Amino acid sequence: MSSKRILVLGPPKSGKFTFLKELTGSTPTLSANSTSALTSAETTAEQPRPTHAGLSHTLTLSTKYFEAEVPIWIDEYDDTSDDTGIRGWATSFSSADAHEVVSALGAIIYTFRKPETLDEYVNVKSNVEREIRIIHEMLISHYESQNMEDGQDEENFDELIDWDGISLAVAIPSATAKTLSSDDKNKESIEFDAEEWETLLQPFGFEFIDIEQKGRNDYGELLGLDRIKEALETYGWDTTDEAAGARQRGILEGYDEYDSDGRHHGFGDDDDELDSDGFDQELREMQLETAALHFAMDSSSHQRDGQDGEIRQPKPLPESDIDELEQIMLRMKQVKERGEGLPLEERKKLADELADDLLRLL
Amino acid sequence: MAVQYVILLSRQGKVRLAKWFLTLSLKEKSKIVKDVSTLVLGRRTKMCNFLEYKESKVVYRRYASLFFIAGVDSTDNELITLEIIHRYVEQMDRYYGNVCELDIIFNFQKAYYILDELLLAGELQESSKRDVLRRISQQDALEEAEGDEEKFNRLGI
Repeated sequence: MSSKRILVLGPPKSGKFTFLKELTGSTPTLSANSTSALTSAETTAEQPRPTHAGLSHTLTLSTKYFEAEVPIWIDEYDDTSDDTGIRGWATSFSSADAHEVVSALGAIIYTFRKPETLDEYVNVKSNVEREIRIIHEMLISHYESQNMEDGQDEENFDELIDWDGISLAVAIPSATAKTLSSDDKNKESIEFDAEEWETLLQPFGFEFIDIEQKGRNDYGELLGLDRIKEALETYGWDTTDEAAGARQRGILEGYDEYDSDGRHHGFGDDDDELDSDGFDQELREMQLETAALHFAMDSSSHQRDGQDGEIRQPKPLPESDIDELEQIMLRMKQVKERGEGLPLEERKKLADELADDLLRLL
Repeated sequence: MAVQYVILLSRQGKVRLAKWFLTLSLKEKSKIVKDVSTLVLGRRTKMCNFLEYKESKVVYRRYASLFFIAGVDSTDNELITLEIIHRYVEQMDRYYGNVCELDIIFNFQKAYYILDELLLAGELQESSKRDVLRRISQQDALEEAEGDEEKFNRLGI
């Protein structure tokens, strides 16, 4: 099971189950507890509709590069004529408790019903825009607070995490659409201009998808359900946030040598030949340091002599010091020989050991 | 003809590749990426493929849910830049075989290698599709051979 989840969100009767059936091939099971409590407004003869909030399901993604089982959460908010329903949802999702929930999301899929008449069209359009905007604001404030918590400010671009999940707004055909089109020839068919909706929702980072469309468009892009699957496949369902942050940084810096863990491999990290050069460099540096030490010892002995005001022969280095240096040189040579042909990790370990030894010797 | 940067942007606004031909701090790069992404993603289908951004020009083309974006000097020819982008896309398509976003995510090194064969210091250095593909396949063959050799060494053969 992947660590990240998909959130399917929408007002009641917006086609979430229809969507899930198309996407996964099955619908989520309604739990016994999901029946909503009867309020005074609902004490009519109608049966209370069980809420879909809190249900879960699974999607299996299978590509030529990976396979993943992604858990899906389903959530619902009240369908009110103003924003109170979605705002209530956004507020609860902005609370400290919901913080982990939002961090665990890899995709948000917002579903809504296609309008059937021209009048509805305008309403639906403005509703959807409002609701998507609220969801978008919730995400921004979540990551803002997250970055503040982690002590990151704008200066420190390295680990700024942003919403890197997939955001989709899916238009589900109305449940009664089929009966309408065959009977009522007087009604104008609504032209659903995908481009108009794309432009509407793009500023909020949401991609518009009409689930009824099939095939490819003029750009060779997939449409409808295939596009939904394609978009979901491009997310790293099994990576951690740190890896994702490091990879974002890596891409921006233009590093073309980082692996899927987000670690940067520069020159001298991978290639064997270059590796031994790097090791040689360390050795050379150490040799330089010891030479400098040697020189310092020399000159300090010079200074001591100078202070006496006499010109003396430069004092020969005490035997022990020369031995030490010889030991150091030998050790370095040994380590270098051992290091040849070993993988990177072990060479690093050897280098560390050597550094410790040298410090002790000195 | 100096390309300043090449960016591959997904329809979801994710940067899949960024190659810089000038030296900029990480902050400046992030700013450019953010601004240019917003500009390009906000374009409608019938709009021109060229736009102005600060002192430079941005040339973009949309292919299969990816936006290929190149930033060029204001004195550069936009149509030639468009051709360069198209050539890059053709190379990638030929190499990956019907390239899609997933291919670029999971085999990004090849995308960079192909771009490196095409553009050097922001200038087109090899226009022959055949030559570029030949070199990349030679590279692949070399990598495979080295990989095998490594395995044999580890096994002590």
